[in-house]
Amino acid sequence: MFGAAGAITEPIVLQQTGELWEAVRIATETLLTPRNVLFLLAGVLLGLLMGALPGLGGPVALALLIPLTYPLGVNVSIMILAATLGGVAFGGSVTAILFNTPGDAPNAATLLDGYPLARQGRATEALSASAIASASGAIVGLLLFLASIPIVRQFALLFHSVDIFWLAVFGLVTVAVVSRGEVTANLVAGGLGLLLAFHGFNQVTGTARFTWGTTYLRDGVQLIPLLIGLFAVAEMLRLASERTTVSSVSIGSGGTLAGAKAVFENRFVFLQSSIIGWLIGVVPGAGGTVANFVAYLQAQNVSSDPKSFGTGNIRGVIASEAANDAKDGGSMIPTLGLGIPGSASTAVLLGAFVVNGVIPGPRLFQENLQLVFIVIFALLISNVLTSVIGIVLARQIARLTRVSVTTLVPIVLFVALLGAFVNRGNFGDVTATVVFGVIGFYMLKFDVSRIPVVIAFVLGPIAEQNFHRGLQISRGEYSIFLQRHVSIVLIVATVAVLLLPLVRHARKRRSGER
Amino acid sequence: MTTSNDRLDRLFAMLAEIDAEYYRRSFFLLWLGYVLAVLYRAIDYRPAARLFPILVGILLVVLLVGTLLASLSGRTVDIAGPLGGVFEAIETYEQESDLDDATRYRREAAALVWLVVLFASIWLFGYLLATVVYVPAFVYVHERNARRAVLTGVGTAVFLYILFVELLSASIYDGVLAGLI
Repeated sequence: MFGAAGAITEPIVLQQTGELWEAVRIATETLLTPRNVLFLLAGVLLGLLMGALPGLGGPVALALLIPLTYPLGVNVSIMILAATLGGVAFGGSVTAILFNTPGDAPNAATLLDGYPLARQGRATEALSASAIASASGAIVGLLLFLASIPIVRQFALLFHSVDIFWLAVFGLVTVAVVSRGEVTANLVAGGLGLLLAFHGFNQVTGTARFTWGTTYLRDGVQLIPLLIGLFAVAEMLRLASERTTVSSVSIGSGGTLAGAKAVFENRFVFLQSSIIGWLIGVVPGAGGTVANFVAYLQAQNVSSDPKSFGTGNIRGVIASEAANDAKDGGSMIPTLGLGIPGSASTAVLLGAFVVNGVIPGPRLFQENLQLVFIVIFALLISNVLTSVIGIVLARQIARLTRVSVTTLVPIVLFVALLGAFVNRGNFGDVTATVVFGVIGFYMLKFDVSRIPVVIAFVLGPIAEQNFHRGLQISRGEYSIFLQRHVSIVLIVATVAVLLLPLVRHARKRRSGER
Repeated sequence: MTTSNDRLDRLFAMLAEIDAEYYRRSFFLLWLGYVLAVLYRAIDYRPAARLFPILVGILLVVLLVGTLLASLSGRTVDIAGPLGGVFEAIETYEQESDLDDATRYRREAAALVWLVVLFASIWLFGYLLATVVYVPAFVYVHERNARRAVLTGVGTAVFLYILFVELLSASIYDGVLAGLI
């Protein structure tokens, strides 16, 4: 209040806390500031659009937004990114229902019944049911996450430096194993991410490593060019190579109320699917596609008319959409609580945390709890807004998706490369973005997942720092890494995750021989 | 008389005849080279600084050599994850079109060339000038619609200017040539 000369100064408003109610207050204030409301709305609209445009989706949208939102501060930046994430989920449903093309893979199951409904002239009913199920599923998932926060906070207190080291190793292995494609290729991708993370000045060891004689690499490889290159640029190269087009179906009119009523009438299916989605979301790396399909198949199993699924059964749309959005709440537990992402989008979201100087994981709930609440509130509001806007603007969104790929690609590339530059004003970042874009394109082509690269890049330094910290605490005794119960559990879990694919492979071979 | 287009067609037809697995092996071989370079460099560092790079590097060498050997012996190391690999399909480059390999390789090469041209344009002329030249050129070459090409180029430049310069107060790169003038 009083400066050095006795003059009255403005009180410093707390923007970061581990106290529960203080965190809620900061989050609420952040979201309700008029300027931030506009930012949130912009994030929702962008997410809706990016989710609807096939080939773009959550990871590209978030990767593009990170450099743009960075100057706004960590709280506002994360708010915008979470709002965009909320918009992406429903955006993908619009094209799944209208064009039989999921905007994002987690919307894949929606088209099984959504598109047949559209062909029957019931597109608006399907969109409406999708919107209501989507928003309500998100609310259920986020409320369940809210209820789990005290447990996660207590759990976070158990973690020592050594445990965080093993958690990072577990995270690296898990993401490599559950990513699409061969496990070995994905482990290689993870290793590459680790090596990239080792470039530049290291605070623990006090040395600059692998600069290869360049001044650019003294600061190390930067996360923003890596994200933008691997996701946005690589996807644009893929789109430019494929030049796919989509067909269209007329939306028609009427059916909005019928769709909303259908969700209420099938509330058991909705609740069941939401809980399935949330539980699957809690599993690190499980992703929206699994939640989508498991909930759809379960809804089909319990239906009195399972054969109607796939021909235009509204329950199919409700089940997949409810699960798809409920999983967001569940996936925030491993993403924010353990630093292990639940999907490609949350992997990029993790990168956003790191860019803003916040390390996700157990410490987040102790030191930056307001970010957890910002994510929850932003997702809640964005899911509701997205559904309302989505129903009202479905026709316009559908029209926008007819923009040809060859018009879209150069625009997105320019935004991407400009975004890479403005972060530090260093043209080396643009060069790095292009290089990673080419690498990412070939990774896509050769079926090597890009997610392990990003996760390893984020978790690698965490693993190394906590390893050296653990050694300092134990004064050089390596046995500290095997002494704690939490460490033992994580080691066992890591080995189990590594062995699972081999066990599955051996079982497959045996049943093939029989 | 063969035109350069014919020569390109023949080149890509030749490339398409090569087994795709060779390209995948080359990709991993490049990575192996990079990892070996990192290991070689790491040897000179202090023990604490080189520990993790060497650990990771050795593991990577084993994985990469194993993958390459398996590929050379004709065996695929087809160990999918326990959940079948379930990150979003954005991860998979699945060809849905009926393109033959030669056409696909040609389009991929064209996409890479366009990216390099984009990078060079930005480096030389800066973002705004590159936008009004590159974007119309790209759109016109692919769509043969001059009006759309010009509108897209100008629209993109205006959008970038408003978003980055006016709203975000970011300074954007002016290009090497602007510095010389």
